[in-house]
Amino acid sequence: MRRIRLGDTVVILAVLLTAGLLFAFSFLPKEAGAYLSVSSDAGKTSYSLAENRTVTLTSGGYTLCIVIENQQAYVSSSDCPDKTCLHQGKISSAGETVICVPSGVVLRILGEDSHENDIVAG
Amino acid sequence: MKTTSWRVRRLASLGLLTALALILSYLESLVPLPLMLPGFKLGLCNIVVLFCAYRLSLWDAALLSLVRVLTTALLFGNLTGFLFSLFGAFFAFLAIVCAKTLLSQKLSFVGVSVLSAAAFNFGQILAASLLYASLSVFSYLSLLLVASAVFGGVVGLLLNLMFDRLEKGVKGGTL
Repeated sequence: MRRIRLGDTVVILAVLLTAGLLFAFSFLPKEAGAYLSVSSDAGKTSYSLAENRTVTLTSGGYTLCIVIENQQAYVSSSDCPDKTCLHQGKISSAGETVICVPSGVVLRILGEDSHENDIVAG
Repeated sequence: MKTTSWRVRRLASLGLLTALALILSYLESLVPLPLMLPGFKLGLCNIVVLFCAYRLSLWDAALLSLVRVLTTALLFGNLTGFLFSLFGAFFAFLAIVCAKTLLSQKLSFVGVSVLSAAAFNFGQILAASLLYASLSVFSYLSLLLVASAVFGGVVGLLLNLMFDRLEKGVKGGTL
């Protein structure tokens, strides 16, 4: 039987403190998103977040349904095997992403002054 | 003394421990956690890796870890999971090396286990951020770190209880 030492407590507290700091960091005010950039097999397309719409796209042999609603974007359905994209939730702030690895689809929110929003689908 | 019998013992021990780690990996994949988050694990096989690192050697633990990650991915996982686990296992191993060489007087297994679990999760998230080319996954690390403090702590407590007894029990035996 070995006893817990002071160092163990220090390690646990340090890990929890790091967790707390990371958590607090994720609450810092973020730049509001303006566009949704979708990259897939078919290339990259951007959509304005101001307009509600539903996009169905096929990439990597899988079909995903992407919804833009109330300035937020999310994957509403997907036939990919791991469904992680469905669980990543809604994104709305600049820099946030939803990634579906099996289909190779990446959703990324872009800010107002992003240079990537050259191609904006109407 | 690196006699033939020593080599055979080492081979047998490593085989046994690898099988044990594999079984524990499989068992924890069966546990339905209420909060089933991707990358979230109980880390039971950490018991075996830590036992190996302290009873055999750090190199044996590295080998065991690598084989465990490979076989788990082949049997139950997918390529992405394998990549994450590989990064995780690498950082966990670094943490164990640091703990064993630099902090062995200050930590019991609880500290070592929490440290290696936290490093494992850091590695996983690092792999994810590289794969997805995004730093936003790091916000998810906070949840995983809390989990590593809890589950790593439990694993460490178990090792605190078991290690000396196991060592006594197998004196002169295979391990």
